[in-house]
Amino acid sequence: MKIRLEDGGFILIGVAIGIILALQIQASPVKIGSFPLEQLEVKSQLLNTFSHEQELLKEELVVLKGKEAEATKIIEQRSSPKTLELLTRLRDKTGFAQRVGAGIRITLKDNPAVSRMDFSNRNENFVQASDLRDLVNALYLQDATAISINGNRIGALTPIRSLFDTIFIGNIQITSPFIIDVIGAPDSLSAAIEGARTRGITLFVDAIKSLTIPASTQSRSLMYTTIAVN
Amino acid sequence: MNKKAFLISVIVMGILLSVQVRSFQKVTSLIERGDEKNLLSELRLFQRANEQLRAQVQDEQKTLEEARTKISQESLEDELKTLRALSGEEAVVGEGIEVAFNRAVNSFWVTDMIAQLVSSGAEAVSINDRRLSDETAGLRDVGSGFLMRNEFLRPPFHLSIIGPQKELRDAIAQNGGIIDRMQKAYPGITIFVTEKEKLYIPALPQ
Repeated sequence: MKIRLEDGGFILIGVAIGIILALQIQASPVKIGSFPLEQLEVKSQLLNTFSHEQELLKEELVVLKGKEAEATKIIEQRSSPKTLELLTRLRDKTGFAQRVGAGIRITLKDNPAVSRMDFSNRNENFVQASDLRDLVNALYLQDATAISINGNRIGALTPIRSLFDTIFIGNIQITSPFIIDVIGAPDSLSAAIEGARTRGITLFVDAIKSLTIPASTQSRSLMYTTIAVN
Repeated sequence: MNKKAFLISVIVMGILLSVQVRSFQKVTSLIERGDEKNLLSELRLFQRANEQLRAQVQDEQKTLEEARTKISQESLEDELKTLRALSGEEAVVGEGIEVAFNRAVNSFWVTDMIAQLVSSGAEAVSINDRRLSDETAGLRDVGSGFLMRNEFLRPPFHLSIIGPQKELRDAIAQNGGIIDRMQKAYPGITIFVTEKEKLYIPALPQ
């Protein structure tokens, strides 16, 4: 039997459609939008309560930090220059002091085609916590000396995780757009964003001559760690 | 004419197929990395974040009170001690867990694991005895190991994490947790999680 080119074409198209269908069937289902209405309402109310509570706690923290800074200033005035120098150096090293310098500002946004109302942590068009973690990791590899996300100082031990449609930096909730300020050499820092470009999200980078990265507001109390005695 | 039309159809199907495969790869990577969450667990995490913030407020109130009442030097000494322990300039000890695995994995697994451990109270972390700090952070896959900023780390790998043993273990070793997902992604990998009463993390070289 003679096979014509048209037959070959049909077979190829058939095989391709078969493969696409098989891939589609094998895909894990995206679990969104299946909650009963009542559950969604409770969720929404609780989220509002938690967000409101967090705003109040954040305000309280700012007031306390201010008072603490005033008290510390008075104590510092009575301290030796050597102690003060050590304190300043260690605060700077651990991220508990503000830093100023040249760097870049990266803005990450969801793909304009999607809305946060339909957020899924399995959709590559949304900025995910893992995007921010990967970006911070890549920035450190390019010798970033200070990083903040939406005004929150990031350190090597700052957890970045997703909760519902928002992202948490430590215990602080942040929402899109995500603005990452980084101090370091602008040219090499820009190389760090290449990984994020492969995703469906929007990314802008600006070189900035003078950036101010705030001090960390994370708790610095240690409950389990002590300095080893020789 | 017919031949041309078929050729175009085949090319279009090829493009569609490759787009589909790429899209699946990206989604699979997100599914592989993302932990199973449900409404209750996410609400609980939010609630815990607020609890920790409230504890921080209480901590700051205590610090402020101490700063006002303590002798100035004593107050600064406390802060210096904490900063020295945090900076990596001093070796530190404490209870915690050790995670050991025998082969290189994609570095995002390690950064994801560290993020989960820190969320659960990890205070100090080292990879193959190299303390994780702002100066050493940054992991990249290189051959059979990792580049940790400027230092090459070879397998086997062990992470030492100081913090609450039970919470740290539960954060990563639960069903469907990051260790389960790593084992799924790397069949044959051996991962051990051990609770330790006393862990030692060396100081960073000056």
